[in-house]
Amino acid sequence: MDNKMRKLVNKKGQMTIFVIIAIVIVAILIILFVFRKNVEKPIDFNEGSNSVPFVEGCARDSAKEALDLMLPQGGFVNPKNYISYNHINITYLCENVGYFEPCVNQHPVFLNEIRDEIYDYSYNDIDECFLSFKDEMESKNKQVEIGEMNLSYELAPNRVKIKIDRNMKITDGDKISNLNNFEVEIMHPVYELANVANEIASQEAKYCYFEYVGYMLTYPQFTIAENTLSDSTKIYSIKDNKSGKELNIATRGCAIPAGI
Amino acid sequence: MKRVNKKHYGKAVFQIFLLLSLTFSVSYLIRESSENVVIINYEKKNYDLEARLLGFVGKLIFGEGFVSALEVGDLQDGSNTCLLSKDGKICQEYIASECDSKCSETCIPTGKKNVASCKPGTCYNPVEGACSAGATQGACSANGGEWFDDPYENIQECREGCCLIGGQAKFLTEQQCNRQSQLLNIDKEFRPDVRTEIQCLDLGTIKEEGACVFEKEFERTCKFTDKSNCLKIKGDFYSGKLCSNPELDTICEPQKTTNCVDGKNEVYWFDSCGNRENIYSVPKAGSFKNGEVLSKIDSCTLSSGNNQLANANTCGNCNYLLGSTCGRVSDGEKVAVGDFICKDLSCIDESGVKREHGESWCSYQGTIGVDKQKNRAVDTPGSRHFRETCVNGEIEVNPCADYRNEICVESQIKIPSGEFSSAACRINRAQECLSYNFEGDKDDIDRSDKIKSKCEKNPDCFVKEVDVSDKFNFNICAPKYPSGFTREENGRGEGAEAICAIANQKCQYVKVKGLFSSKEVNKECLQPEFAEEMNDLCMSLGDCGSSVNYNGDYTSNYKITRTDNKDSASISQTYLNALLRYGDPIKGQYAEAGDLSDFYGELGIPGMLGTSEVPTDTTEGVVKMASLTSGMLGVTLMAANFLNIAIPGLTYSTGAVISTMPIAGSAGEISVVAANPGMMAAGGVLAGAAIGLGVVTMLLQFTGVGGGLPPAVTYTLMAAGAIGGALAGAAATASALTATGGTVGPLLGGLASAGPIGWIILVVVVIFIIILKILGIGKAKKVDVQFQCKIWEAPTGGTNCDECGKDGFPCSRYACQSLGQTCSIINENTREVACIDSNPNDVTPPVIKPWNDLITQGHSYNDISENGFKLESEQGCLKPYTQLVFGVSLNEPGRCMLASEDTDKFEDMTEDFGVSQLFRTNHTAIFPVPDLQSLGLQGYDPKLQEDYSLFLRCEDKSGNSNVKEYEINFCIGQADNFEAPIIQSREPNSEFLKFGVSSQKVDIYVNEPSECKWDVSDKEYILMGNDMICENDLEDQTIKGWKCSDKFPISNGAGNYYVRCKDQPWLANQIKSEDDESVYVDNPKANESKRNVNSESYLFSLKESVSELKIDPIVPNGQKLEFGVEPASVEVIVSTSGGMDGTAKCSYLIGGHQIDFVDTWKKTSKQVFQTLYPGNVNLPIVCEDLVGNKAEGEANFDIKLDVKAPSIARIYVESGNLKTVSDEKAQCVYSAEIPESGFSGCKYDFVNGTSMITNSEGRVHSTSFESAKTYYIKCKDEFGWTPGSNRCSAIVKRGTIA
Repeated sequence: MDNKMRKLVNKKGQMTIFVIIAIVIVAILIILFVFRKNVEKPIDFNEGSNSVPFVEGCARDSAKEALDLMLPQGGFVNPKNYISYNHINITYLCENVGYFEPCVNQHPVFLNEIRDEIYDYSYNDIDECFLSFKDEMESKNKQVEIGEMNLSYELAPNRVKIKIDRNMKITDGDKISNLNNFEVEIMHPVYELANVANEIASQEAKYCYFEYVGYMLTYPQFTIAENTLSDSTKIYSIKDNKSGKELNIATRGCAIPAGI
Repeated sequence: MKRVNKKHYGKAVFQIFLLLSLTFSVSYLIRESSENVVIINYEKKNYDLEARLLGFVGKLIFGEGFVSALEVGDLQDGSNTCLLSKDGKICQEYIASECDSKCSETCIPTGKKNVASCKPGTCYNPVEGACSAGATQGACSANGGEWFDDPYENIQECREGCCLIGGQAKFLTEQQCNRQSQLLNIDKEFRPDVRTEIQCLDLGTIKEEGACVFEKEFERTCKFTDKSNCLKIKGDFYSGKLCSNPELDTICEPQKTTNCVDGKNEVYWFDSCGNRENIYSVPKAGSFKNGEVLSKIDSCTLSSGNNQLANANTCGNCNYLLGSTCGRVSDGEKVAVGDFICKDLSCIDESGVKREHGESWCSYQGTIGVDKQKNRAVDTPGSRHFRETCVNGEIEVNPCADYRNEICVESQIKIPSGEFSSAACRINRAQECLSYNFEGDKDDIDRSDKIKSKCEKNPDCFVKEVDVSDKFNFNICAPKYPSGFTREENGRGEGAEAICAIANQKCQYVKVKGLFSSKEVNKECLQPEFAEEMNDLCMSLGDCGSSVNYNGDYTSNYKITRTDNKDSASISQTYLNALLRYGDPIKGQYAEAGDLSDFYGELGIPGMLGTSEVPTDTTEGVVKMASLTSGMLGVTLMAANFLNIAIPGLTYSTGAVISTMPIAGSAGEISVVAANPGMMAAGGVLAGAAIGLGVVTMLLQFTGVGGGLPPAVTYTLMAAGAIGGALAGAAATASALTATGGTVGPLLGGLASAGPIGWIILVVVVIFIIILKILGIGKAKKVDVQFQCKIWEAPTGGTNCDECGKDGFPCSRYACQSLGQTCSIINENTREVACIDSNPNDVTPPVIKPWNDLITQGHSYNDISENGFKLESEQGCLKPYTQLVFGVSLNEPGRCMLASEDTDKFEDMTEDFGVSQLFRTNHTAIFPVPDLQSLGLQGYDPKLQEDYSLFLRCEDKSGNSNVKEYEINFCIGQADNFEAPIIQSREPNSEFLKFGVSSQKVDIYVNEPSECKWDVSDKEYILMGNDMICENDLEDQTIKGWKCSDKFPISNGAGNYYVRCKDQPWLANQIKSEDDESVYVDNPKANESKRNVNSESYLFSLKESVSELKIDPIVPNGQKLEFGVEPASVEVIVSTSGGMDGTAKCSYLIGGHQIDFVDTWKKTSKQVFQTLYPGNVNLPIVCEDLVGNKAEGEANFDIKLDVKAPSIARIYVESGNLKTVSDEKAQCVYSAEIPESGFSGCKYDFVNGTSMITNSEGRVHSTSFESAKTYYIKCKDEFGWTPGSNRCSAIVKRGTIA
């Protein structure tokens, strides 16, 4: 083969290679394109309201709102057995309406009750969040399917853990997005505050007394104030110094009548 | 004219009668009408606390004739239990009459102690690991808790240990530790062997930390952390080294800045990488320590001498417990390096005194406690005790319970820098002091000593000595810090009145005309000192009597009346001035905590039964801490056996009687002496002397002349009588002997001739005595001086209301109400609380009307006008011997007084109207209608009637009273008394008597004044052989009627006694002498035929207890009790039999105190002791039944504490099985998993281990053995003790056993 021929062959070879490369690239692009078409892709809703942060924010706000409402009132959103103090209805954790005898612990599983109280308060809120999210999406011609909601709360040191187990399928034309198991954590000292309140109620039931100054010195992260009212009700305000959050509770026991 | 005189006499007597009857002294409980007057048997064994209190009140109310606002039904039925109230309260007791309206379901007609679902226990949260004391099973289970039958958390699950988690040490239950570890997803170590909170918290400061060196962006950098974190970030851990340690060659440079650290109190250095280094100090080298970690204890010293912050500018070793913590430098503070310094957390109190951080002290609104010089309690109405605390540099003022139901107690501890105060608000045991006076058997000669001893042991009581005169002195156990009272309508004001009325006492002044001068007894009772001494007692009982409120405003609240209607001496200005000073607090004064061991005992916290663990760390901080936390035990709940039912009677002074004192005349004393020589006389001379002496003595006594003679004259007359009698006797003997022909000789002749002389002497003496009698010698004038202690009332009006809160202490309802009658608190329990005058423009007096809803059946209010009404029965005039209950209603709260004559203004009215002197809208009066004859109008005339008028004025809270008197008219008809007296009540109520008694003092109560007799067989009155002693004066009437008493002999274990009475004793042939009640004289108005006598006997049966009371075996006794929880709870059960019916009140003795079992007055008494510590427990036990049978026993047992995890004593392989032998019964598990690098194979929880097979004895544990594995074994004993989450009982390393 002469040089020309060789050059031509080489050129043709190069071309072939280029063509092959081009075909491969096009094929890859086609495959990628095809593949891409067949894979559900997250929907960019482009409204700055991605469902996950939306739901999480919603749950967080609701839990915070519940806690802000509950803590001054002794851990309950709508206190039933309470005393009005500074225009706040404060729940009795331990109470004996009579005289001389120690109080009866009214909420002996206080942590569970607080957890349930947040749940009760925020369940509808969070459900509403999903529904309003759905409405919003549907107003933008997206289809949203929502399953049953399993909501749970866990009170942990310095935090509240919220778990939302709910399937949500969002369809936007050919785009589908499946979401479930939302987990939210808010930093809040309700666990610690509730444990202190539980300790106060227990000691009041045992001794009709809680030495809050000694407790504060042992656990400087708390500031506890106590005020005894004319009817022998004691109001304890337990403050977490770091966050400034405050839980009020009321107790009444071992009261002595004024006169007989 | 004679008729008029009679009438005036009757009026005068009637006034006295009114004084005694319409006011406090015979007021008693009424419900809606007199038909419902109920006497409650307080010996019923209802011993729940409220009932016991009511029992105490009942003693006051019924024993002494007072009234309570409490419903009769409440007193009788006690409390009912509501499982769930309409407002969500669990297991509450409400008084029976209110329970159903408050409860969401039907109330259970018993106290909550008898309701199983209200039994307090411990609630354990199995998920969170938290425990709650005092929980009911229902409330616990409903929310996922597990309930245990121990109300004090003394159960395994609630046992706390040290949880080391996330660099912190927390004192938690094991499940809490596990739970937190799980929630935070971080490792933990649970140390059950650390048994105190302080030890645990200390562990948090000594954890292993060091430099964690790693590569980042091609640089050798470092993080200061613990080993486990370092392993996570895959660094190299250098324990105990700082990141800036030159040896580590990191990029971190030492001591670049200072700062505070979250959760720590010290100022720390920080390196250039932002890592915490050692505690700040300069020079730097000292705190750098060549890059090694420097412990707190080896760091710089902040203090110097007594100055805790002396080196603050160069040293950041702050100590929170000693009063400093890290903070940013503020103006005036200097620090050598950086912007952070140890801040002073101490405070300066209102007196300018420096108070340490953590210090607490008491403050008061006036003088407190007992004025020792005056021997009276001085806490002022409206005042409250406060506890002030200094924490983190700020002073907080916290009120103790209002009405002084809590007192602030303080103690001082010496610390190097001076004294450290610890204060606490604790329950005021004031009411216990009063109850002591009602305890014990009246016949017990040691009763007064016992009460005194009990009183002195109670730190809140003192012995109030009333010493007006030689014949009027007594002691009462009174509170050191008297309780405050509420006077609100529907409150408990009437009960408070009853307490004040303990000081209602009568002193009898007697003046006897003498030969040369008069003799006086109890003359001090007419002087101001009587009023002052009695007011001292009065104000010591509570908010009673004349006193100042906390603002220093004085009101007078006592009354003294004299039966001679003369003005009584009132308290002096000097006395008043002293009272005024009590409004001011005394600097440095505080109440002592006192020994409250008996009080703890009521809780089941007997201090003598063991010793709680005391922190061994003796650093000052810990000492302070201990002193503070000990406050928890220093303050506790009200005694379970708070008030005991007791026999009424207030006296316990040595032989003294509170009310009328016996006046011992010399003649009376000598008559006893005189009788003895007469009895012993032998022979005519001696017999004559005795007769002469006896005649003279009797004359002196019967005529009353003896009481007015000086002793010398009395003895002379008696001697003369004896000599005259001796001479006359000798003469008579001589004559007799002569007549019988005896050989008496001249001596007898001489004696016979002396006979006339003797007779002459006797006649002269007798004539002399008669002359003395005619001259009035020995005539006694008696004046009863009655002190009435009223509840303290605030000044009328409300001009000082706005003073409330101006003294720097918060205004409370009690404080506000003490400032004025019209002061009312508004916005209570808010920051806008204020005390205002609720009726500043009130100038209208209350409008008085008859209380139409209240009048005894068969009676009516007639002729009603705006100025009065007439009380009439169906027959017109009121019928004698009926109890008329009536009342007036006001259109606003007010208090009412009456007079039997016209007066000008409210202040002139002499008598209180109604059963209560509190400001009320309805006022009840109880009027026992007297017989006209008893009022002095003699002669039966069916048409005879007398008209009477009472004049009433009422004053409202603003001080307005009706100008024109309100007139209550009525007439009393002649008694057509043809009815025999009725015996209404008896004491003792129970027919049972103590085993082995030979006699029993008995009382009966008759519906009208009567004379009564008894016999062991049923016979006519006249034939009955034994007279009873009857108190038949007008003022002797009690709620139960007129009392007659005697002592019945008991033989053969039982007896029936027949009692009959005869009325109208003033018509008897003989009546008591006016001058001397022990002498009977002929009655000029005798008319025995008109007297009615019982035709049937009242049967009074008594029965001796069948046997001695016995204590059956006590449980536990003689046993060793082993516990895995400290302190341990043990229930002591005492069974009794025999005695009256086997039921008894049992008590245990501890530290010199006798404390009743909480659950007693049954055949089985129970007491839980909740804080028992290891050692021997010895409890002497005394049981006593209702009639006084006593039995003694002892509970003796050992408490053993198992606080150790089981140990493995032996390990071996047998038949292919690995066997371990534990030193106690246990369960064992193992883990054979290979641990992660750097971790121990023991790091697993017991519940996650693989169980080994345990033999029947629980000591040998086995599992199949593979020699290639390592076995990490943990064992748990029956009390739940394990080695902890990171430790093993044993490790069998692979290859070590073939």
